Amino acid sequence: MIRPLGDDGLLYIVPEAKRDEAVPMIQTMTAKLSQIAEFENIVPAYNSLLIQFRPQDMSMEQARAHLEKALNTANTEQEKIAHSLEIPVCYGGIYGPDLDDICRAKQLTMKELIQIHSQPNYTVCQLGFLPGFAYLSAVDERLHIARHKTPRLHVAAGSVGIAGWQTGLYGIDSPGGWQIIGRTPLNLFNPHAAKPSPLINVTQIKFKPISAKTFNQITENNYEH
Amino acid sequence: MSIEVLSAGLSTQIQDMGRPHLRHLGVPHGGAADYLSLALANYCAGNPHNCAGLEITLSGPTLRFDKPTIIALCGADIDAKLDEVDIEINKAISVKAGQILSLGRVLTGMRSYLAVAGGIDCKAVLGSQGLYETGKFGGGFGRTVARGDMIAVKSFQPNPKALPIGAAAKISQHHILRCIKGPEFHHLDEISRLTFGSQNFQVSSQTNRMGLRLNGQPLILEQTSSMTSSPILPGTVQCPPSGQLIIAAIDGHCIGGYARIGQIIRADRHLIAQIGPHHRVSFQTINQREAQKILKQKSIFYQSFMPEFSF
Repeated sequence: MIRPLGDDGLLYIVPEAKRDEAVPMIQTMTAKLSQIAEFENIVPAYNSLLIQFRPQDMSMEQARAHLEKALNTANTEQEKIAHSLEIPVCYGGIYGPDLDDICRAKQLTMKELIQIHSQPNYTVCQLGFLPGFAYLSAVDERLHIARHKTPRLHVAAGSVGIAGWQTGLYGIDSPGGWQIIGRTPLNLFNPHAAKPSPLINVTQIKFKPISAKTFNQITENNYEH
Repeated sequence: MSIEVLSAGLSTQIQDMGRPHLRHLGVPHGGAADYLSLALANYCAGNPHNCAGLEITLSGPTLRFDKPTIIALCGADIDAKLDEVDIEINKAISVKAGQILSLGRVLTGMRSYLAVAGGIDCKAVLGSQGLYETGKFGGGFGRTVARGDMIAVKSFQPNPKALPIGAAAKISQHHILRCIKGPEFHHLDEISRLTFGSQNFQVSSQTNRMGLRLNGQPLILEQTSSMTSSPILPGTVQCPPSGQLIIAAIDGHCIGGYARIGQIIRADRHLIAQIGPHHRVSFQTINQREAQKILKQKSIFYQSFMPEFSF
């Protein structure tokens, strides 16, 4: 379903019936659109996609034709464009202040929780709430836990959190209500770097548990650069 | 040349034309919220339209210039004095070395723009010199300016200009925003669909570069189940469950979870910057063809003297 967002935006919204395939569909369309034409923005989300174009250079009709072309390609090509990234995470302790509470609530040991959380490949569904904030595909049912009623004033950049069925990564320091279970020493958003986020074009993420010692080593290496 | 900040004002910050192409990373458009007024100020000061200048909100800074220069102020009318002498906005003003510019309160609207000949000189981050306050980057200091800051300015060849008639903004306390019905407009119940286009909303005091909250008769959504978050733009008019509308602004989130009932047209988004606390807002719904016509007309007018400028 295609709907305008104003006079310079066009949205593709995945129909209810196709919601399960939404993420790979949106990812394929996103890749195709950047090959098809010049847009000001191509913004993927969980089950929708926005293209923003310059009305001076492209009409709404042309934009719609490009979007339909990408949609048709995504429907027929079933291409798996997988770019995987492994993200080291130190779970618990000072990096995961909510981990103990979650273990208690879910009657899991720390080892079990880490195993359940780090076992699957997660799909990157959207980066877009704040710079570098990554929303990932659903976390295992055994780890579903509601977000805090009152958000923390400060959640450190790199924090890995759970809110309901969602799991995700905080790209920059910000307030936040997610349950924080660990942190990655990777710099998820650096506006001064040539490539501001390691998550650009990444479609799959795998979490790799690391020790606090390794966390510090990786952090030191970051500073050396 | 340097500008010394003797007092900072409420939220004075270095801004330019922003980062329009990074929404897929969650980086908002940013830049001057009323980028048309910044372009006009640059024009008067003899600069290319997109030079970095100072965005001044509600109450301005006091600045000392250490070398002779040319400045201009555009946007909201503001109480402005150069060495205790009143100066006008919308025109090029000569400044002598050591003179002090005192900017007081904004008199209409919300934001004024100060352009200095040569343009402000600071490092670009992600392609723009503008401040992104939430991310603490850009804007020279990664924050709004503070007392004691020295702002560097590039050198220039004097080329001041007079603004063509009709170019300067006419700003009042009642803002009519032309918009196109949003993708979730039909989620509103029948009465609310009428109310949206006919009510005068009042702007709350909660208004900043991220968004504006409006007060009024609450609109009612027929579908109250929460929407899966989806992309938004500056100018997206959202209706949360409370029924009190929120207009996304230039630094707003790139993705939102509320029903998008309207989208302010591209040609009118710069007007959002002049909507202040307790002002009145009404929405005028138009169609795509009308929006195209308005954009074309406004573009032709401003490009007639600023060929590089675009909405």
